[in-house]
Amino acid sequence: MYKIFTRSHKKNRGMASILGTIIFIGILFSAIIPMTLVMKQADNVYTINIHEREAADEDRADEALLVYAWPNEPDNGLLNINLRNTGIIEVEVIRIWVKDKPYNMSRTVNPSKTDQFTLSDLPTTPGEYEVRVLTSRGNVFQQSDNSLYYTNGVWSTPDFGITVYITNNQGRYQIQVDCLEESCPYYQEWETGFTEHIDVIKTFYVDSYLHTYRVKVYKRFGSVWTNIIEGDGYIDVTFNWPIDPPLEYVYVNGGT
Amino acid sequence: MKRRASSEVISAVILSGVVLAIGGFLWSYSLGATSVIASDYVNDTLTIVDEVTERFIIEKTFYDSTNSKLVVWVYNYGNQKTTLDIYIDIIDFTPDPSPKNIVIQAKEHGNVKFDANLVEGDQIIIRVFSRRQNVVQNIYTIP
Repeated sequence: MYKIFTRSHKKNRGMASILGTIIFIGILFSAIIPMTLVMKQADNVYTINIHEREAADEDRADEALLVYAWPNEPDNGLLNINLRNTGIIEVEVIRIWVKDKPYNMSRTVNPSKTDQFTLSDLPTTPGEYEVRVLTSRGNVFQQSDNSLYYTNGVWSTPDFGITVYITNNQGRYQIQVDCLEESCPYYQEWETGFTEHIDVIKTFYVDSYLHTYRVKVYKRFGSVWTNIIEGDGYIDVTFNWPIDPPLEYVYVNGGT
Repeated sequence: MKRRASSEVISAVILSGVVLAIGGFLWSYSLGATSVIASDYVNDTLTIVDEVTERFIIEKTFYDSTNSKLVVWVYNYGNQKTTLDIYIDIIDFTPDPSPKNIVIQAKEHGNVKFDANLVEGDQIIIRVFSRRQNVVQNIYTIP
């Protein structure tokens, strides 16, 4: 009697254990593991999106664009726009603002390239005009240096200049600009007051676009100023106005 | 052939039935609970992704003196639609303190107009709040 009872009890307990184990494994595979996988997948989506956004933000920070705007002719109602990509990635321009008027477009400017085109149907409110360029990555670049005016039906850009752009990691620089012609008594000299650790950009405004100007750039090594322009040691600048912008750029490699 | 008592068979059936009933309930409850937990987790994660990756800028602000309107253009350069509340705060003078809201699709821009009588030199603080709690602010001076 005792033996029969014991055997029967063990048999029942064994069946319950088997059923319990099956149910536990069923819950594990049908509920817990799928939930973990779904959560893991959500984490992956999060990580991918964050990385993509960070990459897009870095691309945005790498965009660099110089914008020039000047009248095609003083009175023909057309505006020349020149976009120079000085960055390391391509820039897609999606909109240009001339004063308060937007012009939608899609133009891609590759690194170190220039894109030039003409806008028509311009606003005609007298006064100073600002030109802003919006890129698809969300950067806004404003017109570089020169001002644009519209008065009495005539457009004008009063400033002609030479912008010297020195790519630089570290250094102290001196820039000299002088006019080559006797009829043009122009000479300007400028130097960084201390050691610069970023690119050096300096614009020299000139009196007339009709002359040729000579640019020399010196870098200080110890106490000695050394000319760092390769070849002849100078760059001559002429203005091709009004086909080209009223600002001419001179690029110099400042070395390390 | 070995014979078993009927009470023994009945008790085994009852015990198995009880285990199956409790197990089935637990199984069903677990499926529902884990489904809800996973769904909430995914929704929360996607909400955070949308919040962290939302991007917009104040593209352009200008004053239309003819109609006495301050116009604010906003560009959404993120990858999802955004709903924005735009506030302006004119220093020493607030003609329209209520915000204007606008929905802007991804890679699109939109504008809102505020009634304002402004003069040259007035400074306006423009604050753009998204419903995802991101903020962009600019100061605009009437030229």
